[in-house]
Amino acid sequence: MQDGKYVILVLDDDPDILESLRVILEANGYAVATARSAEEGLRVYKSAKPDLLFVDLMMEEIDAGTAFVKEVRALGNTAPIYVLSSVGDNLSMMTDSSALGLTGVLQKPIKSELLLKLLKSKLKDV
Amino acid sequence: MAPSSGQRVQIPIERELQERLAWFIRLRWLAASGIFLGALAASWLVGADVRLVPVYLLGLAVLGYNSLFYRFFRNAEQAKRPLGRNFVYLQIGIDWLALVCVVHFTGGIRSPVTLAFALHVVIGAILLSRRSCYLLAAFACSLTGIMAAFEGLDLWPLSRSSRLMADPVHGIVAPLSLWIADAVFFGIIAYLATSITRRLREKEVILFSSERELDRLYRETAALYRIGQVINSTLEMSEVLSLIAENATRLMGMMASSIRLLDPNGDKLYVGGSFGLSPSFIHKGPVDLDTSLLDRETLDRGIVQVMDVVTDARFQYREEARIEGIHSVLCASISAKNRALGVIRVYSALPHQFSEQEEALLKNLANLGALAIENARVYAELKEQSEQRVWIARVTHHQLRAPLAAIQGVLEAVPYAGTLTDKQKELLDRATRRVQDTFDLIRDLLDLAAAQRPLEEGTVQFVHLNQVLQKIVEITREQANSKEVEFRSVVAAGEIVIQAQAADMERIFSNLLDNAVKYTPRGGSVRLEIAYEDGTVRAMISDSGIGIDAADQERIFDGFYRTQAAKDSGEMGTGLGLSIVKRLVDRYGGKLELVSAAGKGSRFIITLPRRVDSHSSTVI
Repeated sequence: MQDGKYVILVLDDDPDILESLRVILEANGYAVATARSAEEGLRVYKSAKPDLLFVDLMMEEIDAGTAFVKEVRALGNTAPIYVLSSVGDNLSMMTDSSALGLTGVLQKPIKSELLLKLLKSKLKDV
Repeated sequence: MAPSSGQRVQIPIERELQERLAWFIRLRWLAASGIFLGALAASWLVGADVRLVPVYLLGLAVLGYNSLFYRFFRNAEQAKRPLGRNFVYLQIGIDWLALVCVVHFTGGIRSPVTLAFALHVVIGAILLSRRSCYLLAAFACSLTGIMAAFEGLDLWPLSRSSRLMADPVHGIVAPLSLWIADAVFFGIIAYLATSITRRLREKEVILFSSERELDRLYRETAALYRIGQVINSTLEMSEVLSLIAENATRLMGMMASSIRLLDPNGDKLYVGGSFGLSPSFIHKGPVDLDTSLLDRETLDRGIVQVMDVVTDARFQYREEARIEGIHSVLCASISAKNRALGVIRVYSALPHQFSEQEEALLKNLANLGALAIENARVYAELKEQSEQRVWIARVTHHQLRAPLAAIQGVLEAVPYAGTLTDKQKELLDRATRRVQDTFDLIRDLLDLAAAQRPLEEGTVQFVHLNQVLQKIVEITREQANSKEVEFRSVVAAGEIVIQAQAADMERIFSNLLDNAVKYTPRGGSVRLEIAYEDGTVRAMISDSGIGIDAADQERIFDGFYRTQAAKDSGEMGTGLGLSIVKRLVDRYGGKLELVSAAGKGSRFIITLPRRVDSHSSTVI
């Protein structure tokens, strides 16, 4: 929580995706922290202490997303982590991701209505 | 191997000499019985006063020496020792000795038994050569001549009682004239018998050599067929070329064979496959076409032979060939579509004049080699093309979808950045929809590319169609409900198991069900039926929608074709869906049928085999 707002961390190497998600989420009363690499993500994670995370596992730098998730877990993370994924992404990587203890998968392109509905239901429990 | 000229062919009739010897000995048992019975019959029937005792004794003698012949023959047979013509001469000699005595005791030169000499002349014609037959005839004449002379001159007088016939003329005249008649008779018999057996032998030689020719052709054809099969079943060029080299060596009875291929520049030859050559000879390194006169001549003329490689200046590696033990070489060029590809050679350890048959066989093998090389080349090209396609698909997926996803994300965010006018909202909706269409198009293009690829071995498994379709049926139900279209799914009881890729089955059914709901107006109905039928899975997707005009039915399975009615319906589509479905059904060796008419709804019937035939062309 930051100023009474839930903090959401988005990790994706596409700046346009980051910016669109920031606009949608901030307009709906969430605080947003963004990062474009695993290292930056870890730094931001430590400072922002997010309540929920969106991570793109299929970034250009292979394994960056997976490495980030592993690091975060090592830090004793309890916040839900959702994977941002595109249709046709490697399914074996996805099964790996479930072993990583991820909360769920969000299919790109992300529909804002679905996203907001999910956040409402998920963050009430936090 | 072709029969070499000059080598005498042993025809079966000569190989049968052994069998005929047995026959000759068996005949003699009959002859001996004939002597006993004949003498008895003559004395009893004709009343002739034959001197039975000496004749019987002679009969016993024949039985005795024939037993010896028989034992000798059996021993030789068991020892696998072939008996030659001398054995035949020996038998005939002893036979005639006995015969002379029988003739003497049965009436001398007048005795009908004299004619028995002719039997041996005939046997000679069968068992021995033409010359031997005439020699035997001459010998028979001499024997009977001597007998007649002895008789006429009273040197070996006949007993009165042993005369079978009346004897009107005495002295030398009668025996002499009888002997002349016998001699003419023996001559004629020899002529007739040898004429017949000679013709028979000639025919047998022809028959036997055509039999050998047939056998050779059969072995060649079988080998060529086997190579053809290997060419079709393997794409490993070196394997096929080595097999061709091996067969060339074996079929032609040579010591070795090699196949060398031209490099892409066409100026060097390197070994593509070989048989029977030492590693040091093979790995001489690539041969420069400029310095190899023999290879250049082969490529120019198609076929060239070298009788002695050590002295022939055209042969480049004479010393190496001498060490290798090569004496003669036959070379044929390998070419396809008038383009030289390489050279095939067979090596002989002996001086060898290659026959036309051998040249023709090597040319055939060269043609098969050309086929194998072409196959391998085409395969390599196809593989490269396929890899390129995969690369394009991957690039399309990542490089095209990523920016589109970003655009869609940004468009999605616009309404949250501030209040929009109605016109702005409308424009935004249009942009969003076009982005969605492009997403669909990329998805369909990738699906289409995937559907065109043959199934790879090991990628299919038994899937439960009911489970695979569960989610699609749910989505269809939602879509149908929101559009107030009735949807019914009738799936046969029990599990429907089919050998397939689950994703392909999903694509087929989601495409057809999506279409059905899309093009069925409010209040209509959509129905899905799946059942087992004769070892196949039969699925039917029917709707009461806009239908497809007969004229359009052929074209809707082509890519990017949409009927006017579909466009008019206001529904969006890439025009690729049915094309994907058709290719996927084909991929599994299934059948896709369409029953429809404009305004009367559509019914798609899919028949899929429960098992993918791994030998069909659908699987590589």
